[in-house]
Amino acid sequence: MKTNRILFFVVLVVGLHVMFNFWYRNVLTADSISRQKESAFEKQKSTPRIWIFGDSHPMLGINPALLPGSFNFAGTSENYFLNYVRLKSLISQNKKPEILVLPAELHSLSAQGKALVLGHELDDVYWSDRISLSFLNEETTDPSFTRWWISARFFPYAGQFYRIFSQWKKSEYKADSLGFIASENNFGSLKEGERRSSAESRFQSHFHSYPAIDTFQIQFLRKTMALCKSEGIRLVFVRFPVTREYWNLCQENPAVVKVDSVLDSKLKGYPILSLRYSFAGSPEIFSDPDHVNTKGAAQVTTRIVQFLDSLRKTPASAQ
Amino acid sequence: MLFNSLEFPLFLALVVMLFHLVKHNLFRQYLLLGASLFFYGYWKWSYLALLLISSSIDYWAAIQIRRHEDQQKKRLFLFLSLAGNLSILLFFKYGKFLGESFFVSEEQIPDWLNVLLPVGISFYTFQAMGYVVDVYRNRLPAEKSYASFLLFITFFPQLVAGPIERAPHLLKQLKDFTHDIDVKWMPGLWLVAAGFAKKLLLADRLGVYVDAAFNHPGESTAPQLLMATFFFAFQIYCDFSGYTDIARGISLFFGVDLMKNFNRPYLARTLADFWRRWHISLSGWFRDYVYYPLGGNREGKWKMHINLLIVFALSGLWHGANWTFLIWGLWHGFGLLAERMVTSTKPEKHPGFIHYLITVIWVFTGWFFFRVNSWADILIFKQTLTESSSWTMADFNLFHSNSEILLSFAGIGLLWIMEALQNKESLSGRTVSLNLQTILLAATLFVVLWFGHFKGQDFIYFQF
Repeated sequence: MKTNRILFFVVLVVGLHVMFNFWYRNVLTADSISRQKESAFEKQKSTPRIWIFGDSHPMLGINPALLPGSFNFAGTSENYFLNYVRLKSLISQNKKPEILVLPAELHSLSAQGKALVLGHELDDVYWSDRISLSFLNEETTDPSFTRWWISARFFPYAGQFYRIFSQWKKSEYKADSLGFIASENNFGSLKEGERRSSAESRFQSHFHSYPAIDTFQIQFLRKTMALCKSEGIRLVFVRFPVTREYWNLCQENPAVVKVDSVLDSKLKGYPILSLRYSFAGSPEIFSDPDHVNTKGAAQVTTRIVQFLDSLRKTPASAQ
Repeated sequence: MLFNSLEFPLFLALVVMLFHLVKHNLFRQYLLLGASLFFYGYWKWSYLALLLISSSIDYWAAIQIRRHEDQQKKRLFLFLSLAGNLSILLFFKYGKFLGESFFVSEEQIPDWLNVLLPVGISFYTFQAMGYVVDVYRNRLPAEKSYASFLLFITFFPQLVAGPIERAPHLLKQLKDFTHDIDVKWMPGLWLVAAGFAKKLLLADRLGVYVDAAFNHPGESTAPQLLMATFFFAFQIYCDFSGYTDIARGISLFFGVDLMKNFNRPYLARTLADFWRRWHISLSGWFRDYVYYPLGGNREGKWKMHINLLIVFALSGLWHGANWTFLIWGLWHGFGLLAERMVTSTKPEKHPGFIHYLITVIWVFTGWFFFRVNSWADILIFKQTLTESSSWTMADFNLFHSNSEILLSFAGIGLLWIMEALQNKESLSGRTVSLNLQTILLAATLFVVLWFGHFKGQDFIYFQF
């Protein structure tokens, strides 16, 4: 192989790589939930007082329009590790809330959270841009995160063919100016059998082949607690409502139910609002077995407003 | 170090660059040796010691065999070498299995039997044993240079999953890295690209479905099980032949030509033909070092049948300490016997396509036994297959998204067509300009990058 042919090959490969990288970052995934929300957050006149972090449960379940001074950052599959990354990143930009709301769910400690990050299932471009190698060196001892970071940073399009077809310039969700994503689906309109099978499918997606308790998530939950303490941020936890069908499946599985007692021990001293079974008899306020729709979000947010009001009487120093 | 890890391209680029910068035979040998030891030690440094001990025994035994004229002494050193290799293999690979067979419960197995299996142990011990036997049979002189011999055993492209090379072919090439070695960059790059395409586009993608079906016995439906078996046939082929392609391609960067280990096995029209095309280096090893010494087909029909079954039983067990591998080996052994009986009586009654179909079904069914995790799982799956009543499309597709299933079938179809067309006279002899080849190569690279399955899964044959 002559030198000029090698040069031709190298130039061709590098050129195509730069082109694909640009296209993937700036066109194909430019409309991801995280980036929509960040852009909405940057447009806020003043830094919101209450920040809502977490996964799809708070994402669909808390409407900041009904909770004055709040902003909903939560996005699909965002776990305690990513919550910590975001909080640290925003604090480094001299932005911080008075209150941070986090979910405390049965799947919050699941090993699925880490698997989704390392499996490049989330918005790699967004997250790898907020994580530095020195951050990884300081915060984890797991070398697979370094590998993840290198491929996410330099080859974000690798293995992401499905985005070409499914996310061409549009995201599945649209966030409003306060980060809320409305879902109008009505789980109650399904037949009983359909509801049950839908619940089974959701339950499987959360716990099938994933251990329910992952020390990695516990580690980052603790780090978030420590960071909030040092920054004077009040942490509040919420258990979001699920349907009766989903809850029944959880109760049949001792390993899953055990998560609550583990979380309770880790969250000792922190305020927890548990709404898990509060709306189980109202399938019409759910969009699927474990997510509320817009109607449900209004009810959940009202309860959170009441809860936060009641907390004002309690000093944050208890944490 | 995995070929499909992030570290490997950096490691390879460095070694290739240094190799071509310094055109000195000894430097190149020591560079490749150092790189090979680093490559292996990167997994677990302690197993490097095992590799060095076993290689040293073989090196020393071969020298002693050549030094002594007395046949008894020659035999003694051959025995020492084979015993050393087989003991290491027996302890590390079959120790736990034998422990489980002798002790009633898992808790009773002593800790020292619960050791981790060193990567590629079956490959390098077989390569070393073949060398010592060849020296004993006067087919080649014992290698005097310890470094050259060690490089022959540890040459990193083929160290952990073959092909199991013979000394007359590989050792000679590894001793002579003179200035004008024949480096075939373009064929090498094509082989590497083809290997990664097989591994990342197909094998790892199919593996997700296969693992989901086989690792949860009792939860999989009959259609899922059948589809998983079909997928596994292509997963293991693409995984293993993909590894071999990468190994052969990388070796070409150093001017080393490794033997071909696969020759379009799923186009074989008979089982005998399949075994001439599948894992050629292992089949050849068993033929030369086990089947022929047992008497081969020279001592009558019944003895030949028994020899064949012994070889296939051993070939099954070579893959691992599990009854399922033994069943797989015997499945093929009995299949071959049946084939020989039928075709030797009325060959004209078995037209090509029917025979091809029977071969494919036999081979694919064999993969079921190969992949299943245990004998207990076979019984569960048997129940699933016999009692299943639902065969709707939904029963097939639970572990994968539709796009993944579609890509899997498209990949399998493309592979099958490409292999079928490979030797067509109308296509052979056509040359493609080097510029076009370069563009096609870059295109292949990006197809693999976009559509590949990047979960860092090990190559299946590493565990053997």
